[in-house]
Amino acid sequence: MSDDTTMLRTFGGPRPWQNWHQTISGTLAAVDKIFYPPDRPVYGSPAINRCTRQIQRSIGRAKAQGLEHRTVGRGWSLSDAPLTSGIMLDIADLTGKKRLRTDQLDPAYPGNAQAANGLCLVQGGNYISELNPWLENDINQLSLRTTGAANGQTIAGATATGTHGSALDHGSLHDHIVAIHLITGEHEQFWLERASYPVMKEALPQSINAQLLRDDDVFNAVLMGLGAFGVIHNVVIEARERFLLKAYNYDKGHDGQKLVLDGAMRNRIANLDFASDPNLNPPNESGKPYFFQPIINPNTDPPEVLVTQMYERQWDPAYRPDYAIKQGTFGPGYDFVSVAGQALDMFSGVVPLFAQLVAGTLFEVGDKTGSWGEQFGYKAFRTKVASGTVAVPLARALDTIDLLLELNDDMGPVPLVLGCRYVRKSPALLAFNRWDPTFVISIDGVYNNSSLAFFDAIPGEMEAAGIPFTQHWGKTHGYTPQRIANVYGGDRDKWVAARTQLLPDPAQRAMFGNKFLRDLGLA
Amino acid sequence: MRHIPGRSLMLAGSAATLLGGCASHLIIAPNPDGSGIAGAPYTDTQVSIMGERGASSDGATGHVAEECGTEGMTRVEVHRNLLQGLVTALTLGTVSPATIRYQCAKTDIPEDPDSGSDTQF
Ligand SMILES: Cc1cc2nc3c(=O)[nH]c(=O)nc-3n(C[C@H](O)[C@H](O)[C@H](O)COP(=O)(O)OP(=O)(O)OC[C@H]3O[C@@H](n4cnc5c(N)ncnc54)[C@H](O)[C@@H]3O)c2cc1C
Repeated sequence: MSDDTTMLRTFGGPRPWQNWHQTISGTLAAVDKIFYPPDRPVYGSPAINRCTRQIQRSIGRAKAQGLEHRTVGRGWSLSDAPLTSGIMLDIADLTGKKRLRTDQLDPAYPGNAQAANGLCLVQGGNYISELNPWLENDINQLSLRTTGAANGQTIAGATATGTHGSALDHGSLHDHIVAIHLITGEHEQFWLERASYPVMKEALPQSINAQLLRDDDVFNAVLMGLGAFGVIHNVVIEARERFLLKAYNYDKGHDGQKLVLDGAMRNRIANLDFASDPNLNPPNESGKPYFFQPIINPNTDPPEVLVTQMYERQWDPAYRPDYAIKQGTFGPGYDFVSVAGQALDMFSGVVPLFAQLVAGTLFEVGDKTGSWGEQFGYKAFRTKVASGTVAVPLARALDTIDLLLELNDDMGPVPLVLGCRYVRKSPALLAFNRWDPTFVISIDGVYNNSSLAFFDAIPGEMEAAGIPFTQHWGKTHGYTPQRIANVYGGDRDKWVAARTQLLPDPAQRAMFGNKFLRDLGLA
Repeated sequence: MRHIPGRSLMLAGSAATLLGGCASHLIIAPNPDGSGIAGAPYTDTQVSIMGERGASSDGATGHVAEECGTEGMTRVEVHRNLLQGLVTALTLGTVSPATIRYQCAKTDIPEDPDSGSDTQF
């Protein structure tokens, strides 16, 4: 049987679609799913070309029918970024991965030997949970520097909305990427790199029929591209050498008292000062951790704080990571959080108690040493959750926390917690980590009317307080074209210009647009 | 003692029956990296009539998950929503519909560290 029969399967429509957490829904014209060649060739140029052909056939189908064409990752976004009225392309089965060789690199590649050693070509359908064990195994001995808190996203989908963690010296997941293989049409495809950071010899993109384009602005546009530029088939990431993390989750200081948002904690959060109050550190640890995340519970008085601090350790050659999800015990049922959401709308008085209960279930006090992939592992739930983000310059961290606590007092209590994270600035034009460092508050909890109203109110309050802010593109947000223009300014215009350069035909731009982008004035 | 009106008791009783009729069960592989369709699991609805000794809308084989090809499954969810629970309750369990969602393991792709050259990936 030919590849055209075996590698591209169409699921006709109209068909309903929901994101992973069932908070966004819509109707698709069809789903096209691409499978790896059934004879399972080694991942390399010939296999890539066979997959590209099927992606281009899918684009051709959308073009012929005048439909939108949008690639989905895992559907983990809590915004409507992946939603389309047209053909949704699923490339989750394209999971090729390979190390790059030094003889394949452009002589002008500016990375050092360690960076070159970490270069890997991976297909866009790889979940983070597939990359971690592959990178960290005894053959490759590599690791990602940072990811989100869970591992279910695809590499292309996670990087398209700016997924981040809280590794103090690193940016977002997309900041690992140094080259992008982008399919923009039935016959068009590009190999994108920065002019300031060439990576591959020209012959390599040629071997997959992709036009090499080295341009910083274009690369930095597609790097966090919201699915608006076409299909990202492959990317080159620069991984680091593998390492272990000793993680401490704690809610009490050395003095046995609960950690609260007092002066010492505020100083640590605002200044990343890990020296002046050792009471806030885990036992026998001092100095700057690799990862730091305080989670503030706005519904206790004073607000209690759960802290995660992780310290880098050298890899132990005898260490064998275990990524398996662990069997739970009797506890809240599968859909408990969504049902509780409706109940909490009616009985807001029990929100504080509920928040403590949930925090107790989700936050396991204790310490654990493991690889990056083990620390940020699987999540089994697929029920409704609420999640939004506000990102600000670190200098405005405390103003933002106080504003959110006050808003909770005025409107709440809302069943949400405030997770504080730190992300270094990214060169990606629409990256929400725009400041160095960026302080990101991840606001997570129960999906109900009160939490949605809370998310709605945040942007207006931030503007009224004069705090510059961005939001996560893949979570509940209050972006408008004006707000985007205000905060991203000329970078937004460069992003739009890059899109016109790569997709010169208006019909092509419309095809890779969706309501999400149109509503935000980006398409 | 506070008086609880009969109507409230009835309402609470019906809500408990209906919520009790809803159910969800989950089996997940230790490394659940499966895929379904466009991010979501594949879905099948089955009706069991008169229990395991009666009939099933998918017959004795159950639903054959052709989507998985030669791969196994990584995640199986069984759900009964309010309506399905109501049908089960009203028919005293004779007719019992449920929705089953599942994901298939992804294909392993062979690796060869020596493959490729300075002109080919
Ligand atoms: C349980 C959970 C935990 C999370 N934790 C974090 C966290 O810790 N930090 C954080 O920052 N975020 C977090 N998020 C948000 C999540 O990381 C982002 O929304 C991410 O974009 C989802 O990735 P995905 O692969 O599911 O992509 P999708 O949501 O399916 O798609 C996202 C965007 O990518 C585009 N896209 C997908 N694949 C391609 C491709 N091949 N080519 C071109 N465009 C493509 C889509 O069109 C869409 O615009 C979390 C979400 C969940 C559900």
